Formats: sequence, structure tokens, C-alpha cells
Amino acid sequence: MSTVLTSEAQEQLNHIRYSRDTVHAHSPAIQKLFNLVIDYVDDAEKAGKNGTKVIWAGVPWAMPLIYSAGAIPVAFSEVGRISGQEAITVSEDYYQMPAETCSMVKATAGEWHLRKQAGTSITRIFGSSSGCEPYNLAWEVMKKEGFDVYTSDVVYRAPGVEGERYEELVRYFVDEIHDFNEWLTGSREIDKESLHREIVRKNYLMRRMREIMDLRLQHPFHVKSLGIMYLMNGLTHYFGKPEEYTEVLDALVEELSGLETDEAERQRAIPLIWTGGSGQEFGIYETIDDAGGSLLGFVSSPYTRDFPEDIDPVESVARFQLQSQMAGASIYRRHVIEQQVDRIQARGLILYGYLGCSFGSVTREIYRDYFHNKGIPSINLEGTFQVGAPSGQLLTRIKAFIEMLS
Amino acid sequence: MSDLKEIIDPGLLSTVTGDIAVGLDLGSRTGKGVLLAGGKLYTAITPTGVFMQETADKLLDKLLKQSRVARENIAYIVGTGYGRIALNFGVTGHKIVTEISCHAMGSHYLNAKVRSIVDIGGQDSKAIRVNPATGKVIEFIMNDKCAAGTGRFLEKVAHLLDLTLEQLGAEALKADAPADVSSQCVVFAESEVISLKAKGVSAANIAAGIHLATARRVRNLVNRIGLEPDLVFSGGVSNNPGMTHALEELLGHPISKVKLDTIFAGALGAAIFAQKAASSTDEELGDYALLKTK
Repeated sequence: MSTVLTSEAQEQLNHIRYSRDTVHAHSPAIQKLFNLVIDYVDDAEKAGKNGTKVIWAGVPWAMPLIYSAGAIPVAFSEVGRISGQEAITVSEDYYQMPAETCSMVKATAGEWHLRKQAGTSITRIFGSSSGCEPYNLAWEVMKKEGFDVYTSDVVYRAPGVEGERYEELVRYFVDEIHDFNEWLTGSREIDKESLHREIVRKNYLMRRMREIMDLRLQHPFHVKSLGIMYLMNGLTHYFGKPEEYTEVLDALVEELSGLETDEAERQRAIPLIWTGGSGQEFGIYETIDDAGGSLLGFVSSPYTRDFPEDIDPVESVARFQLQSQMAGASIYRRHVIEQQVDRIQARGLILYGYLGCSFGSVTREIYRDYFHNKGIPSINLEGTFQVGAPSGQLLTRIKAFIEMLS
Repeated sequence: MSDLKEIIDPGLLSTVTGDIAVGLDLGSRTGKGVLLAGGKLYTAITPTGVFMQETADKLLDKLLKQSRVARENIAYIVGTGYGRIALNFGVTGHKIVTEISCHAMGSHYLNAKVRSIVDIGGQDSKAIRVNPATGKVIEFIMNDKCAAGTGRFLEKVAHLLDLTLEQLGAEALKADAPADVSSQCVVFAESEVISLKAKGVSAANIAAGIHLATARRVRNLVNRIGLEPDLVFSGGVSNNPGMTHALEELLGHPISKVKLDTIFAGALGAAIFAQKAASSTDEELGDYALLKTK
């Protein structure tokens, strides 16, 4: 099926096209990136119709494994871009989810419902359990809708967990990975050669991303905020097309390497770090750009360290996750934010989360306090997971924040 | 019309240039304008219409008539406020700055010692900390997605009590036992006000209770960023005596008296920014890089 977009999502799509054709007219690499963005879900649907295994996947650690099994993951984050108020209405009215339920949960559940009605070819959902109660509710609802839903347990690394306790977590995680593979392929046996290849690919892409982020320090406005957000999102799921995504990163490194440094541009940029989810209200990114902000640091998809390549690949996936910002406790992400603050000499942090996500809001407050005490100002933004225009007040806050830092 | 030396903090008077500058603050309920020319300060106010540009043009006309300044002699215009986005002034140099920066700068020029600002407008409220050396924002917090603690909320209550918004604040000062209003949500507060009326609670006590409830909301904002003297109260609600009283009571801190109705603080800040933009190159802007054109 081809995605039928609501008028708001259509508007968002137009925004992406505008960013591709006008804002990034100077960058063939980013234009290609946006083509991948635009085609991602529709092409995945087509692949599903043609017999390829395609699943909705909201668990970043699993992406290399999904590709290694010859399947295509469609990330939940993309559901936000294509869903609007209609999906929310389905969740609130049909499923009777309270209005204050997390907008990500409402948007995804509503969108899946609508897609099921329209004859989607993607009928399997892989999510995580025990981390998020509203999603646990959504999983039950989706099962009733006829989706094949599988959830793996969240392996949570508490602060200071090391030694034998840490090794226990690794072993537990490895077991969870095998369980997931059984649901995905019908067998607990993982094709380790194929997974190793995916890990090598992922490491290559993360190294490319590090190069890009380093080069952007010299050319802060070459890739604008919406472009960098999608570039980072792609590092998790490759928009269903690993080779093409690799070409995008390669081309962008080449593009940035060939640019003359513009000292005035470098001086003018206000280095910012974005941490948290991806805002679907694209006006936010435009406001950052217009105010002279540049997202030179991004703490979403891990890219600052490699997967170990010299150990069992399944264990490598587990260890990478448990040593990354996604390990569990907020302190692990905080460490990465701190590294980025130092690396880019950040003047401010943008902490972004979705309306109704109580977990995220607590974490953002912890970061706000911590970095405030270190003299790094932050702004705490809450937006909708589904598309929609940002409120004027939200844009005022962003612009005022950057004015304050200028 | 007032002499600048009567309005502006004496310590900052020397930084006001001779450039003719205009600041327009397009709020959600009213548009305010300030024009600086020839050592004088002119103000204008008008209800915000449907079309922001029309409101801005109307303000500009009023200012030009008062000051007898020709439009082409305006060196620079800065637009701010809720309706700032779509403003355009053709060939006259202009820039858009947020109301948060403008209220900080305006309050700073009214009282150079100001460190904290409470700004309550028609649709949102803000607490702002200011650097007294520059007038720049150090930190701010703003309510959004909710009408609680805003002028719109007070307007709604005034309507329920058969009072005008102007009467509501004065009525609150007559209270002998302010009603306990627990709801912050406009929708729930409306039910609460109706039930208080049914119980025979006086309009004065309900009004005082509402002001205290709103002030509690604002106090929560202020507490998030910390309150340091001096404190200025600005925005559309700032000339409501009931709110001033409630804020002083809850914050435990006097609100500074300044020599301009602080409903104009944002427009004054915008006019000051306009002067700085008119009289400086990008390289000279220093602390005011937000005015850079490139």
C-alpha cells in the first residue's frame, strides 16, 4: 500500500521537500538523504508485499540483527512523521486511551490501526516491554487488532553496575536477543557471520558520522537542523536501504571535506546539543536555523564508540548497548552529553521529549539541574510525536533561548 | 509623550542615542508601541486586530502623528510579541526579537538594578532573570499550552463576576477574606467561581482568591529560576493592582516602581534594540549579537 497522508502529514512531507530542494539545494548528499526519508515507509510496504520480511521496530539495538536476518525494520520514529490528529483520535476515541497518554503511544497505535484497515503488508511489531507501561497497553491492543506483536525485556543497567552484576546483564541480554531472533526467523540460531557483517557496516557508518560531526564544526550551517536530525535517525535504521544510506554518508564526508572554511560562519554559529527524541514539529528546526543555532552535538542514536568486532557478535550487540548512552540509567546518557559539551564547546542544550511521557520529563529535569549547575543553560521542550505545527509559544521559547546565548 | 531623562534609568541615559527608533510589541490582546526621538519617548496602544500588520501600522501611525516624525526618518524598527512573526516594514530597517529579550531590555532601561522580571501577558506568563550589566536574559521560564496564570484567565473570571478586566483588580483589593480557589485550570476554575457565587461569597473575595491562585502559578515559575531583587512586573496584566498585590504577598518581595507603565516594557525594549541596531555595525554589536544582520 502507498501511505495515505493526512493534510498535516502532507504538509510535513512538503516541508521535507522544501528542505531538500531549497534549504539544502547546495548539498546533493542531503537531497539524497531526504529521498530516502520520503520513500522509507512506502518502499518498505512494497517490499513486504513482494515477500520480504518487514517489521515495525522500535528497539534500536535490534536493527543490525534484523538486517542480518534479511529483514527490513521500519522504525517507530517514522510513524510520527506520517501520522496526525486522525491517529490520535483513533487511540483516544476507539481505544479509549486517556488524553494525557503519551502522544508517541497514541500516534503509533492509531496509525497502525489505520494502516491495518487500509491493508498494510507490515503486520509484525517488535517493541520493548517493562520500560513503558502505556506501550504495554498498546501492545495488547495491537494483538487484538491482529498484529503479531513481540516485546523483548528492557535490560537496565543501573548506575555503577560493574563486574559480575554487569556480566549477568550481558548474559541476560544475549538470551533476550536469541529469543527475539526466534520470533523474527523461527530459530534461536543466529547467523553470526551475517550479524558480524552488519556490525562491521554499523561501525563504518558510525565512524563516518563522527567524521561528519567533526567536519561540521568547521561548516556549521552546511547541513541544517532538519537534515542533521534525519541523518542521525538514519544511523539507527538506514531507512530500510543500508547501501544507499552508506552512500549518503560517504558523499557528505566528501562534500564537507571539499569546503573552504568560512571563519565568519563558524564564529556566527551558536553551538547547541540536541538530546532526546526527534521533534515532528519541523518549525522547531527552522527556528533554530533562523536564529543562528547549529545542532553540532546530537545525543540520540549512539555513534561515539564502535561495537567490539573481535568477540561473538551477539555478545557484541549486548555489550555495545550496555556501554552506550542507551544502557539504562540516565547517567550514561549524561556522560555522552558531557563529552559532547566539551567537544563542541556547547553554549546550550535542547532537551526534547514527547507530551505525556513521564519518564522523559523526569530525566530532562535531572539533566537541566545538572548542567545548569555546570553553567550550561538548557531549554526543555515538549512536543507531539505525531506531526503538527509547533505552537507560537514553543517557537518563542526556542528563539529567546538562542537570543539569550548569542 | 515624556522626556527620556524622566523615564530611563539615569545610569543608562548616556547609552540612548539620537537615532529615531521604534519598538512595536504585538501582544495577543493589545499592541503597544514606543518611539524614541529627540530626547522624548512616545507611546501608543491599540487592541490587537485579526491582522498583525494592520495593528502594527496603526500603532506606527499613532506614534508618527504624536511625534511629528516623518516615516522615512525612522532609522530602525524592532517588532516583538506574539504577532511579531509576519511583520514587515518595507525599506525601513527592521528586525524581529522575542518579547522575552525585549521585556528584559525594557525593564533594564527603566531600572538598571533589575534582576528579575515577572511578565504576565494575555496568553502566557514568564519569569525572566536579567544580567544587570547588559540587560540580557540570563534565564527564563515560560508557561505554555495552558491559559492558567495569564491575562486571558483573569478576563474569563472578570466576565463570570460581571466585572470588566479593569474593575477586577480593584475589586480584589476590597477583599476581607479571599476565597480559596484551588483550580489552576481555566475550565475548572470557572466551575469553582460559579459555585463560590452560589455560596454567596462576595465578588471581591472571589476576585482576590483568583488573583492569589494566579499568583501561585506565577510564583512556581519564579521559584524555578530564583528571584533576585530588583523585581519588575511587566506585560498586559502589570497594571492590575490586584495582581500586583497578590504577587507581592506571595513572593514576599516588593515590585519596583518605575516611571513608565510597564505594559510598555516590551515595546521600550524593542525600541532600545532598534536604536542599538541603527547605531552599530555587526562587528560593534558585542553583547547584542542577536541583532546581527549576517
